[in-house]
Parts: sequence; structure tokens; C-alpha cells
Amino acid sequence: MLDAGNALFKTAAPGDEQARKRAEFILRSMGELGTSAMAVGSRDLAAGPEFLKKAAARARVQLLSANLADGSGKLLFSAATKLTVAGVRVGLFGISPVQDADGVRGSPPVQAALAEAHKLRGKVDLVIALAAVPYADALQLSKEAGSAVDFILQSHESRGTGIPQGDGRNFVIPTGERGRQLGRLELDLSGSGRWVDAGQRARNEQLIKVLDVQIAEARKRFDSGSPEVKQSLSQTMQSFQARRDSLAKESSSLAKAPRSLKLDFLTLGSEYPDDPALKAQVAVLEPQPSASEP
Amino acid sequence: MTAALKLWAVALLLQPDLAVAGPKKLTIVFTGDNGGEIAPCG
Repeated sequence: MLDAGNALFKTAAPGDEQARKRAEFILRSMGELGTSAMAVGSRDLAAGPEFLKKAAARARVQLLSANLADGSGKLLFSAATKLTVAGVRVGLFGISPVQDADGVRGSPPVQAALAEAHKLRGKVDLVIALAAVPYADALQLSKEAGSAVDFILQSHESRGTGIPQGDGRNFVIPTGERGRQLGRLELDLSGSGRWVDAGQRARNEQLIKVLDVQIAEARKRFDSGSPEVKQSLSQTMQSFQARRDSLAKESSSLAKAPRSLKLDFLTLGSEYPDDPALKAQVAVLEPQPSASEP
Repeated sequence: MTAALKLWAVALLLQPDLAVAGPKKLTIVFTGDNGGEIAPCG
């Protein structure tokens, strides 16, 4: 379990006592869930770095940021960590936004990320950036890192869910928002070389089905159409067929890929039951208005 | 139902995947941008 950051406070502004209690509760829950690491985002620092460090230590959650330093330039958090899961060696590092306030200085995150990525590459099977930075910075890191990074898990603007963005050397991965989803990234590391998004193959196959229906419909109309209609439909069918061929070719190529990823999100709906003990704690921290209240 | 409670339940269900996956396969579960949310999320 990983967290891309911006987990603890609603805003980056200094929080009140209630907000701090809520942040501590979230960290404690993350620790109990076995969260291996979390990047430090701007909405995690609302009560200051000392509060965050102490609460995370109590919760046993490892905080990562390769570019947040104090006034003297000393890093406030660990830059990176390594762990082995199911026989796969995973290197993780965190990055935070540029900032200079309240004794916290965030240097340019992409430069710091590249340095950490190059340190980890070669020592692990998988390099993952926990990127609590603006999406534009995550895209820049993706472009500049090339194969030094495998995945960039991004948080900052609450972009929600989406599909992986990348060119095969690495992918930027959305991480959901407001606790509404749990991201799941299934990886097959059987070979080496470029990554392929298995979800792209599924999306291509869906599009091929749609095109098949459209081509069949156009053929029906072609048979009973006037010469002008036939000419127009002929061009349309050629266009559909070319698109279909291109998608089929791409899917065939994707199927042969040695390393693949498949991203999906579990939306946390009513099918997942509450944990009674946690529910009681939430009720104390954030009482819900009763149905009879205006 | 709350975001935190659902996350708790689902993450516990998924955690065993990490341990039982084959040596060349790995499933990573993750969150981000929770934004201090513990309230009901609909």
C-alpha cells in the first residue's frame, strides 16, 4: 500500500485542533493498513513539518520527500526507501512542490527526482516516484526521466481517476481523490524493456467492436443507397476499416509485450462494509447531522 | 459509509495480493489526494 501524498488536510492553510486530530487519525489508519510509504504534499504540511514527523512516527508511516529541506538546507524527510515485495525489489522516492514558507524550502522537484531515480536504478527491479507535485511537474519528470523511473504516482490537484499516461519507458498514474477510490496497479515483470498498458489493449478491442458495428451498418445502407450515397459511404467505410486495422495491429503488438501494467480503481461504494471500530472513531471526529436536523 | 471505513475494508482485502503474487508479478494498491477526508463520501 502506497500513498502519493496530500492525504491529511483539506487545504494547505494552517489547520485548527480538529483538523490536526483528523490528520492524526488518517495517519494512524494508514499505518494500521500497512502503508509502506507516503509522499509529503502541500496539504500534509498544514500543521508544520514537526507535527507531521511526530504523527507519522507514532503511526509508523514512512514519509518521503527528496526536495523538502529546512532553513539550513538539511532534508526534512527521507528521500527514498527500498523494499522487497513478492520477490520484487521496489525503490520508492517522494517529491514535493516548490515552496519557501514557514521554514520549509522545496527545491525544484524534477531535479531532485532525477537524482534519486538514478541512485535507485540498477539496485531495484522497479522505481516508483510518489509525486505530490503539480501534474505539469509529473509530466516533466516523465519526459526527463525516461527509463530511470517506471511509475510516477501523482497527487496535488485532486485530478481523480484516469488512465496511465506514458510512452512505454514510464507512466504517470492518477491516484484518485478524497478517499473515494483505491487504485490498483497489476504488473507483469516477466521480461525487460518497455512497459505496455494492458488496459490500452482492452480499450482498443472495445473500439474495434464499435467500428465493426458501424462498418456493418454502413454496408447495409450502401446496398440500398443512391450512387451519391454509395460514394460517400464507401469513403466512410474505408476510413473505419483503416482505423480498425490500425487498432488491431497495435493490439497485436501490445499482446507480445514482456512487461505490462493494468490500472484500475475500486470505487468505494456501499458494497464495502464499514469497520465498526473505525466507524465509532469517525463519529467522534466528524459527527454527522441527523436526518431531523435542518 | 465513510471514505476511511471503505478504504480500510477494501485495502485489507487487497493486501494479501501483494504476498501471494508470483515472483514476476506484483500488485500495488495505492491512494492519493485524500485531502483530509474521513466524512461520508456518498
